[in-house]
Amino acid sequence: MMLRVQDLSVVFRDRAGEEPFTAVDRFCLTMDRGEVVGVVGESGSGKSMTAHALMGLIQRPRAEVTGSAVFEGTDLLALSPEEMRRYQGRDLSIVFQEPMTSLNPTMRIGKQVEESLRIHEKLSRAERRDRALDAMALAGLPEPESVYRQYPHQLSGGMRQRVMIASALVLRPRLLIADEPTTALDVTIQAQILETLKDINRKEGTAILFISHDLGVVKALCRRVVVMKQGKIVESGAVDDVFYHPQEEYTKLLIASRPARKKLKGGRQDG
Amino acid sequence: MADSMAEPIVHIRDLNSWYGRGKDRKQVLRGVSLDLAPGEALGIVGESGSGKSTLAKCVLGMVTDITGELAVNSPRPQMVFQDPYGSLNPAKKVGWILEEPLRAAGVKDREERRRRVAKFLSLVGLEEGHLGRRPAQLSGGQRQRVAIAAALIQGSRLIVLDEPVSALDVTLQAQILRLLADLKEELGLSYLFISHDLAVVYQLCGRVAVMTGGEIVEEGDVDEIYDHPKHPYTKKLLEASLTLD
Repeated sequence: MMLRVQDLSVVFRDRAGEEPFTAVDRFCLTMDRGEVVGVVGESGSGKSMTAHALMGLIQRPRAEVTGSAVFEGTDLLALSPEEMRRYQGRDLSIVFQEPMTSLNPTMRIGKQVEESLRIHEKLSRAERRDRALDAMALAGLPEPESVYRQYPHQLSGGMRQRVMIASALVLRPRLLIADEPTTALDVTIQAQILETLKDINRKEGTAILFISHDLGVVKALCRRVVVMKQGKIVESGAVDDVFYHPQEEYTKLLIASRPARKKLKGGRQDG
Repeated sequence: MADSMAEPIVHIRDLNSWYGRGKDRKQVLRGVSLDLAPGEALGIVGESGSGKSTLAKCVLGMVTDITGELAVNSPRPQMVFQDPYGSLNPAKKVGWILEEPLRAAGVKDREERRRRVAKFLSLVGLEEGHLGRRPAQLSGGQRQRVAIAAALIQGSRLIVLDEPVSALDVTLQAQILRLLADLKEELGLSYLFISHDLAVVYQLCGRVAVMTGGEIVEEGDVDEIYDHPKHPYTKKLLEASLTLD
């Protein structure tokens, strides 16, 4: 087993005297190497907060993170921020929803893709460049050599998201956390990015924890899914079981709410 | 019900539009033609940059650099935007937000304004208690209900809906679509429904036009387009939409 998360909770205590707010409540999950697992939920369900907690991206004084997340034998939640930094980008990395705000607008693409190589490995410039170009090709960027010299504003939204994926993959992490990576993209671009993620999973054996509000996207990519609501896991299991035979009312509501091929007739039943 | 014999509420023939001026002048719409009958809901589907929002703005008279025919036969056509956070005045209470279009329309009698506000508030499923709240004190779904009430309150017959549910969670999306279907029936509204999401359009619209590169590449009955798409771009859009089936 690659990852075992047990009773992960994130509690915010912003001001003295205020009720603490539990953003994630006893989240549990196991993942094998090379597995692709989806986490679905609506705004405020705690799905992004769970991803951030696993990546060590929640500032401790603001929030209390409890429980354990054992990754290849090491409890990530027990590490100091300095120790955690050795894992970030190298063993596990994350891709966010908005590629424009996660990229530095004044830095060439190549430099940004290479950044974690500079932090984690001692390589010559040529070696770094080769590794960056490999990652960019893997992320499906056409003509990596020319994109390498460009700036973020010269790229489309889909290309920028591919740059983020390349940066996340440049150190060949075993776990990629993807936090709504296609939500800001057009559907045809979304379909291409999902294909790329599938390819990466197949070729590199990278495990993917895929966070999304969109059941259709999760269905397209994942074999296993966790449904969250208000910080808690509502239901989890094989995608086919959960989506075709949901046990919980909330899961049923999520599925019924999806725009399906049905006509809405006007006229209210009552009042 | 749509009445194909009646005079269309929107009539567009060979519409071209441009943004910018001089050498930055760029053509956005290219020869767009469409008709919207009273009581009909027409979906306009396309991706970013397809020109669908520009078409909506033309219908509302917000684009002036145009050629072609454009006739809108409804008083005060209104628009509902994707992000109610951005379209509602954050400093004002819901009561003020709903009364303002009536003041603008010259409804001087305060009691009459209050009466209309109460009517439309209940039509969109809100309660009197919401009148004293500001947009930040409402949920995303409630904010969109306020935006819809504000668009309807002047008595418009034509509403342009620009991605009205795209920013909402899927359970709220279903509620707002349901509300739009009810209002259309009850008030006999015509909708021009702009969306990137074919499945959302399907639920509300009988007819759909698919746009890319500023042109309508395919137009017709939604079932026909779903089952027998002709244009390669429509096929691509349909293939990219992810269902649970």
